Amino acid sequence: MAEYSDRKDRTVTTWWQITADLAKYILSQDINHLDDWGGKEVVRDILPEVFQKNFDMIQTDLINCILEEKNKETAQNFVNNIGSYVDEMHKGLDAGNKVCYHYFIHSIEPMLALDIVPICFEVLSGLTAALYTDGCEEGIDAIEGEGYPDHLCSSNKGAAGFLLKGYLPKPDMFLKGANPCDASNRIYEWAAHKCKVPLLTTETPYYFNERAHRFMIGETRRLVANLEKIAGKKIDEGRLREYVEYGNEAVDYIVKIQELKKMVPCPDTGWHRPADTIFMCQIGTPHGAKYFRDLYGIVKKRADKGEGVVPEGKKERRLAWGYTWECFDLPFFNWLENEHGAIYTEDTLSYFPADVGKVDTTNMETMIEGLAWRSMQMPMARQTMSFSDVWINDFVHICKAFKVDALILGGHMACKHYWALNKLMSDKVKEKAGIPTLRFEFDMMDKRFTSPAELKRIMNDFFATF
Amino acid sequence: MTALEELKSLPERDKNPYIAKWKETGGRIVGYTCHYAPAEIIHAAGIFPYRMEARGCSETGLADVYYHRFNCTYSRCLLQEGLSGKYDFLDGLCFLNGCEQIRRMYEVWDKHISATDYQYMVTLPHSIYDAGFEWYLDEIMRFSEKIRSDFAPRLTAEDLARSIDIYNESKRLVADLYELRKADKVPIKGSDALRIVLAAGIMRRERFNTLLKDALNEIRKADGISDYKARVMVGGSELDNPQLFEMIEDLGAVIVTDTLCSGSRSFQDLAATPKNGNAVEAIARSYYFSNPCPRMMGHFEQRLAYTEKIAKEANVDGIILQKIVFCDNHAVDSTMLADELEPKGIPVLNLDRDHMLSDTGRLRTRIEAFIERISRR
Repeated sequence: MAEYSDRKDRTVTTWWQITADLAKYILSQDINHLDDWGGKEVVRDILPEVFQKNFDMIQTDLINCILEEKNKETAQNFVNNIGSYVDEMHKGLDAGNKVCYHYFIHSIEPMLALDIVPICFEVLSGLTAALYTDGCEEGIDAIEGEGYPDHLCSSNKGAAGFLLKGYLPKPDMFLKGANPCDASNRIYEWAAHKCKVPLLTTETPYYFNERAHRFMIGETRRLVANLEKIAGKKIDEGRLREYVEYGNEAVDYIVKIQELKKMVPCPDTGWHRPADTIFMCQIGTPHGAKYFRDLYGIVKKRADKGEGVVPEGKKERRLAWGYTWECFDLPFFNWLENEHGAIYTEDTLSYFPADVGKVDTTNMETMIEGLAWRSMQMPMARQTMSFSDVWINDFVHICKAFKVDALILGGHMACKHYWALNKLMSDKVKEKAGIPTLRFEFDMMDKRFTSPAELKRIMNDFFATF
Repeated sequence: MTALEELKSLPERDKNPYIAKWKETGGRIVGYTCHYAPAEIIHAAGIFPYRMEARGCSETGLADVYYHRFNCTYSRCLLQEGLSGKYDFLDGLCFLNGCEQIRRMYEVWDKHISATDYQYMVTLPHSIYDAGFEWYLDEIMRFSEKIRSDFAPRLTAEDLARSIDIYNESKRLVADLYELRKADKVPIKGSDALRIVLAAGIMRRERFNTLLKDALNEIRKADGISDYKARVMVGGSELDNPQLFEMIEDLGAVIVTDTLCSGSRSFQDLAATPKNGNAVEAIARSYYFSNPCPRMMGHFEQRLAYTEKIAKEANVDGIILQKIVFCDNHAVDSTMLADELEPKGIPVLNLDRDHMLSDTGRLRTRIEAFIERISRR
């Protein structure tokens, strides 16, 4: 049995590490539901002691969801990846490497090539919200307790609160691109100020033309120079190439999986979709490439057989999420499949335009240029850095290309920029794709705002109108 | 009516005589939504640059179709005024990506408010650094070219230089006004001073300068207020209405300075009058490198230092940082400022409000308690 750190500053990552091992242990049993093993209380007592406390924290519905036959392979891939992510992170911390907390859409290849440990701030909130009954609420409450308002983003608040409580490794720097958004920019500013470390920033241009790309290349060069300064060494071209190639592989598989999801029936399950976004912060790592390669294999196998993911006899209803998922209740997406035959095609937080392309690894210059281009096309960066029409047109395209039956516009309460275009998107999609939309509010990482039960009620009502 | 009375009158849009008069002579008006918009360029093209505001808006029913309750009430009120035709007098509108909520209005305005013939978007980086300035300068140059091609083909460098001089003159006069307010006997109420600086955005700048010159003479002759309980500074979100200032002063304080973008921050750094240089660059430089709005990343220390400096110079007893609910930039910045200033012995009140002054009982109670805390008598 693995030994786990009892260091306070690794509280959150150690939670995840234990959960990954616990989930692997449960998945290795020949069961499809905890009831097959005697129910939750019984299972707790027969688990190895090292897992019991963590088992109490995990959402029971999530365990039952990943034990469902159709979800088992993706679940195995999911927990393997969590384990690898934490192992790599802890290895870097043990080596005394510098730590950079970064926004989830940043390219981390330059950090990896400089032996900087990248820790994605939003993943700290998101993955914790996804796994545990109490989510990242302890962190959210901690930062709100300092006087910061509830209308900031929970993806930042959770992690910020964990930092305040000393549950995370000490940062050496923070890294934030300018878009999105005011709320996240301010939290990064707060965090850097609080921790007395530098805040590295990159600007995002408002356009997608040659002028904007040139500017972004300059920003990427500036970022590399700043990282080099803090790391105290020059970036090695060969090492950067190695990580960029892993990044290319991951993006290649993401785009391929995206293509498979256009098939009818849809061959991909919905429960892990928030996790796919969460793991995009690993683009550039070997385990990130492995996650998307293995996921592709699972989806392709089902696609080749012409199999879908909704129960036999149910009509497949194809949904796109015009903005974001929630991640405090991953089994909700499984429930949508089982209850309503509603599959998950695309969302803003994981959609890559097909022309994102690969980063050319010929030399340092081509890699910088490619990373700059990719950073303009990353999910959410692309849609939020520019005019509303970019976002809206992406979803008109998605609704047509993925043969979507309804567009779900579940809006994260903190995203003011989104709420200011939500109606325009709804109108345009109705006009151009001729499909209905559903608009409602939630907090993507805090179930206390719109509860899982309320989410289901909203969806039940919506499907009753179909 | 004296110059001071005229400046203090602050007419709403449909009663604004300066708009009506300008339009009668065939004049064009271009609105702008943010402090970082280069008003001098609009002015140099012979256009009336109008600082957008939503004063007098009392409901947001039309705007709420396109915006949501999570959007701040300033953005919703501004959109409401547009959708209800109150801004039909605009010939053009210059948006900036100053904050997420205002920049997204570009598309709603474009699609649903047909009376505005021209729309522009000027984008501003979120940090202050050389490459960021190059981008902003390029944006301003492009804006200048658009204004030239849309409205003023004969716009010259001399026109720009002249507008810089006129706007610099405003800045000097407003600096004089703020200087006078530092006196122990405060010669003008803060609410009236705010009316004056807001007036700069709703009338031609030449007229404003003439009036303010005369008004300053009136203000210098005033007896001054000395029976106040406390000297207060106000910072935080956009404030286009003196009502909140009036409430604070009705409770016994006097407002002697501010760090508002709609107040003192609009009148800071003078643009260098170009001799042989580039006038557009001089304008861009004066905006970009001035004391940064909280939307700028990595400049909190600069804002903190500026706030402290202004507070000390005006000898304030406390600071009220008011923010419109759902304004992320000021929500975080105000809390950070309070965390730093309180331990230094500068009392701070963080106050949530809506753009339409509502919930006045709660506001009054909190302000009253704060004034009691910092009261000199």
